[in-house]
Amino acid sequence: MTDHITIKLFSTLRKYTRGGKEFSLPWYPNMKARAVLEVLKIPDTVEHVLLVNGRYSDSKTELSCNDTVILFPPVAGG
Amino acid sequence: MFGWRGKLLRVNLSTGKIIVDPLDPKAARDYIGGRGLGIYLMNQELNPLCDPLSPENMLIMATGPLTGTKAPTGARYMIMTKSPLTGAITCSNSGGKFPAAFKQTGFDAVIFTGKADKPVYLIIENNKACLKPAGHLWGKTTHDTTDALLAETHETAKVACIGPAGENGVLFASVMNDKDRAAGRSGVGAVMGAKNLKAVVVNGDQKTQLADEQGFKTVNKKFNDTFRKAARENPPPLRLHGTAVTIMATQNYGVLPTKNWQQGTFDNWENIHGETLTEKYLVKNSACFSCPIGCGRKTKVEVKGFEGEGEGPEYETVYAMGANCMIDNLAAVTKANYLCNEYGMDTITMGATIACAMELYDMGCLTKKEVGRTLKWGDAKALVELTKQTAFRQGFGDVLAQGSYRMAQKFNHPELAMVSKKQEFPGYDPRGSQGMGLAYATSPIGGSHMRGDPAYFELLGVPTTIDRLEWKGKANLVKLWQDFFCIIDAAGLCVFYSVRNLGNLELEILPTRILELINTATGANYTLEELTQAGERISTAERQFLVNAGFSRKDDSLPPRMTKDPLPDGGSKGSVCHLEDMLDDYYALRGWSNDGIPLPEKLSELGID
Repeated sequence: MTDHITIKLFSTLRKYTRGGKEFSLPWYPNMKARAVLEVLKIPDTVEHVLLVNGRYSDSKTELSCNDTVILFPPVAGG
Repeated sequence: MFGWRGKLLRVNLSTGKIIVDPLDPKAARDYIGGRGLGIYLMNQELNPLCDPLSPENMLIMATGPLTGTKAPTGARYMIMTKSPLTGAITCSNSGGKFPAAFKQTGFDAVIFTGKADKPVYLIIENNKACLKPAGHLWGKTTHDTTDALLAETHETAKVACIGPAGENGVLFASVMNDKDRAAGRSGVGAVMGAKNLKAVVVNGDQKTQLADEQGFKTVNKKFNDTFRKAARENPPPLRLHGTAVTIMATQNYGVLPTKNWQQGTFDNWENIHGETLTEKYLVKNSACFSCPIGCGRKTKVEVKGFEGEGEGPEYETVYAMGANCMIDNLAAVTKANYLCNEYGMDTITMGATIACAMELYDMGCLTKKEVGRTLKWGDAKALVELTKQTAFRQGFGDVLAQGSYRMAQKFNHPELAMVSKKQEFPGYDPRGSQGMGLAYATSPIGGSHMRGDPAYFELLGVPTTIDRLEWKGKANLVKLWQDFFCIIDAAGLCVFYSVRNLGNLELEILPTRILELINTATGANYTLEELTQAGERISTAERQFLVNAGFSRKDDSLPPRMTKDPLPDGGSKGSVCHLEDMLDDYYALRGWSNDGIPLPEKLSELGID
């Protein structure tokens, strides 16, 4: 398989999916998390929490090959 | 008075005497209401060393100035008493329709003292109240009690009551209102049961007068319009899938307590996810009085052996009864949740205590002989059976009824109880959420997510997200957040709405928008500084009660599993909670001694006697 990253979308962000709850996107050197938001066409106005391998990250975070990127909306709940 | 009703109802259950007292305007302004009013009265009138299950204890049901108004989520009331589970205070909060209906009777709060000779219930109508016999209700579930009381009083009335667990002295018995809304934690139901008080029925039609009706309406409209516009574009996850949707965050951060907190992830988490609840068992969502979110879940299960109908489960329940027990059977978790609602028990302590028993069983410290059955990880039938036994204190249920700390101590492993001040934690592992660890340890009720919940900004993106693994600088955020929650609770609002919509959206955490609501409602003309200080006053007054009850730094603790054993898996692998490093900063910021005692100058600054 080519170099890739895994994307998981949850709750209301799932409408931006490119195939099910979990799917892959090609990875390339110097790839930033912002590229994922752009490919998935998630508008800047849509609030989200972005994790890379379980760690809180933002759009400037550089991604490594085989990283898992998770996106979910803010949740006020308990 | 405006916003406030200006009257307190006092009920001496020993003598049957009922009197009405005026609400002291200065106390109302300084402590706002609800939780604040409760601790003000406790510090004035209750012996902090009393036995919580004796007639000497008092039990207060208190609303806030925004309860029963059309403020978004103005639906909450607070039950405060000395807890039989922890020996500290309770702040057991609930919504639904009962609190707003309570306010319509013309009272801000009811204060119970003493103990009735025989079971009674209190009915409160417009500006009057009386006690009635409840012998015919004793032994009934919360649902049957509610139906019976509505039939014999008024069909429009609202009911808060205890079930068999409260009658039987289960140390984590809850008080249920509107059948399925819970003042769940710390054993408030056991205190009601010890007083022979089965229920409170309210039926009034007196609208709360506001100081500036038009101004209040304008502020309200502004908040509602903003919320509705945002909700149309992006529906709140809580409305779509209930609070159990939160598991998507905790699992992915590796802070989902699993196997009695031995792990931070649960392989089968999607089986107990809020989205799965929606797909399989949701009938419809429901909302409390004046709530624009609607996170409530009306559910129905038809799976053989777990059939039932009711509300829930919430996130905390799917953590405690699900992942923490390694149970991925959502039908069983939902059934056990129904049983807790009907018998009147806290689902967090119930699930966490069974998880602790499973670990003791796994270690061989508990055997089939003591439990009366096998008790392996993931045993869904055991969860349901032991929940029933606990409510009636039958068999091993008599041990479980005392909570995880007393049970683990009995079997020589108190360190396996995942508690602070003997109360079980909610579902966020503080090894991967450092501020949460400090909040658990310093909460005035023991382990809790409702007395200042840093998971919002460490995990859930509300109001923003900061580094959850960093402990430096967290003490100040935890303090500010705890004080902000005091204001929310005292005003009579719900945390879920308030944390995103009624504070400053930066991390300065100021009650900017609550200020607009509370000033137009009450006419009290608080400045932002005065309202913020009222939050600090409530926190400190609560601490003062705890200090007088014998609590100090030694009790602001976490089990060694949280501070010494690194998480073995998931997104927080390798982390422990740095509690002691945060505690020194926290006490200094609060103006408390290094032993956690409020200093005289801080008490004087806040006007606490």
